Amino acid sequence: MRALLWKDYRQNRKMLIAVGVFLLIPYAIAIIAGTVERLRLHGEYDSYTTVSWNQVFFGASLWSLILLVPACGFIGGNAVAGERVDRSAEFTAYLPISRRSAIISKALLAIGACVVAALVNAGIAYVTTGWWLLAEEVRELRDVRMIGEAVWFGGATVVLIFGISWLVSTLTNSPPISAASGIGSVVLVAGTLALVDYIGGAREPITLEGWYAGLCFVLGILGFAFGIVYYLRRVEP
Amino acid sequence: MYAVNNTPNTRDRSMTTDTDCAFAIETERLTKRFSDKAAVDDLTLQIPVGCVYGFIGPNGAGKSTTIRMLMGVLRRSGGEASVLGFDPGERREAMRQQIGYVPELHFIYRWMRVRDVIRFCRSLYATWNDQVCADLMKMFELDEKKRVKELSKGMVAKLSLIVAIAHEPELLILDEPTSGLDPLVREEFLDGVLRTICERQKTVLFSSHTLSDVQRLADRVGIIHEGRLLTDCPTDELLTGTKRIRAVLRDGCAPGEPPEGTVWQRLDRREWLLTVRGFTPAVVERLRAENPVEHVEVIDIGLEDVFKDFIRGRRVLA
Repeated sequence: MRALLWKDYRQNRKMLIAVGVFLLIPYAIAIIAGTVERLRLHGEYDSYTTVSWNQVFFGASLWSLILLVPACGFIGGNAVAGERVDRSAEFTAYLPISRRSAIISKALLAIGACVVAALVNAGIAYVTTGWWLLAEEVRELRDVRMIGEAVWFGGATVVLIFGISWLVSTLTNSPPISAASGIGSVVLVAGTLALVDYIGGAREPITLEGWYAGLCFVLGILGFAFGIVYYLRRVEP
Repeated sequence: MYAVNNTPNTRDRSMTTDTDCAFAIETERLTKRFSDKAAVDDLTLQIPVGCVYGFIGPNGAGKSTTIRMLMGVLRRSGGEASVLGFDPGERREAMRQQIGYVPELHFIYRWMRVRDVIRFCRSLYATWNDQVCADLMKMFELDEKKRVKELSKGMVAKLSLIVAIAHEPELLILDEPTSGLDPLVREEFLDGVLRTICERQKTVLFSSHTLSDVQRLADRVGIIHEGRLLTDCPTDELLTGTKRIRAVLRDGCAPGEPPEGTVWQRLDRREWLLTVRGFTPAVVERLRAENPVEHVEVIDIGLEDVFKDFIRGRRVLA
C-alpha cells in the first residue's frame, strides 16, 4: 500500500502543487494588501482604523476555504482519470495489484489532500480569531450557529463536487471533464432547487437550504460509492 | 526439439498453488465476444510447463484478446481457462505474482526514473530477485537515473522485460514485445528472453509478427485466425511436415483434386503451387498419379511462408 500511495502521490504531485498555489492566492493578496496598508500609513499604526494581521489572515483563510470547494473537484477529477491520460493505468493493470488496493490508495490520497487543506485553513481561521478576541467585528462571525451553517453548506458542497468529479473520473480518461462535472453539479442541484421553488411557489428558505444540503450529501456520497464500484469492475483501458 | 520440462523448480514456492500441473496454460472452448462478434472463438489450447510457445496470427486474430483473458484483465464470455493452476478470473493478484508480462506498447509511468520503476515493482513481487535485476540492468546498460520519458522505445522495452523477468516468474507472456524495435535492440531483447528460458526453464507464451523470432525461440507454435486456432503443434513438426509443392501441369490440362492436407493452393497458367500439411513422399506419388503433371518439385519453407499459406488458405475458404 505504501508503494501505491507513493505512486499516486507522485502521479498527482503537479496537480496537488497547483491546488496548493491556488489556495495560497488569498494569503498572498492579503499579505500584499496588509503591507501596502501599513506602508501607506507610514508606520502610524492605529488599532481602530488599521486592519490587524490576524484580521488579514482570518479573511485569507476564509477565502482559501471557499476556493477549496472547487479545488476538491480538481483533486477528485484527477484521482483516477489522471492515470488514464498517459495510459499508465494499463501498466498497473497487469501487475499484481488488486483493484481494491489501487482504489483505496487513490481515495486516501484524494480525500487526504482535501482534508489536510481544509484543516490547515480552518486551523488558521481558528487561531487568528482566537487571538483576536477583542475585535467587535468578528463577534458575529464567531457566532457558533453561523460557523456551523457555513461548515454544513460548505461541507455539503464539497462532498457533492468531490463525489461527482470522482465518479466521472472513474468513468472517463479526462481530468478536466471530471472536475468540470463536479463543479457543474453544484449549479445543477442549486438551479434545479431554485426552479422547483419558482414553479412551486416560495417556501421557507430553511426548507430549501435543507434540501440543498441533503441532496449534496446524498448525491456526493452515491457518486463516490458508484465510482468505486465501477472502478472495481472496469477493465483497463 | 520440443520437450516438456519436468525439472523440479527449487525456488521458493510458498506463493504457488497448483503449478505442478502438466500444463502452464490450458483453455477449453475459451470464447470472448464483443457485441455479436467473437474475437476468440472456442479456443482450446494446452501449453505444457517449460514450453516456449509461439502464438502467431494476423492483426485482429484474437492473440491479444486471448492473452488479456489469460492475464485476468478481460472477462471471458465462455469456456474455461487455467493459468498455472489458477482461474484467471479469480485470485488474479496471486496468479500475477508468478507471471511476467511484456506488452506491445509500454505504458510505464513516464515521470518515474528507472530506479523508481524497479523499486515500485520490487515492492509488489514477493519473489523479486535483486541479483537477476542487477544482471539484466547491466546487460541492457540501462541508466537507473534516467526518467522513463527520456528513454528510447528500445530501452523502455528492455526495462519492461526486466520488470517481467526479475521476479523469476513461472510463466512469461510476451505480447508482440519487439514490435517497432530496430533489429539490434530486438536482438538484445531476445537475448534477454533466451537467457531466462535457458537459465530457468520457464514457460513462455510469445506472440509476435516477427516470425523469424518465433521460429528461433518457440518449441511449439499455434496459429490463430479470426479467433480460432488453425494449428497447434511442435515447431519442428510444423516445419518438417509442411512443404510447398510446385507442380507443372501438362499443356492444356487442369489440375484435379488437391492432396489431403492442402492448406493453400494457387494455379498460375501451368504452374500449380500447393502447401501441404502432413507432407510425406507418398503425397508426391499420389499427386503424380492423380494429376496430369509433368514435373513436381518439393520446396522447404520457413515459418513465415507456412503462416502466410495457412492464413491465405483460410481466407480463400472463407
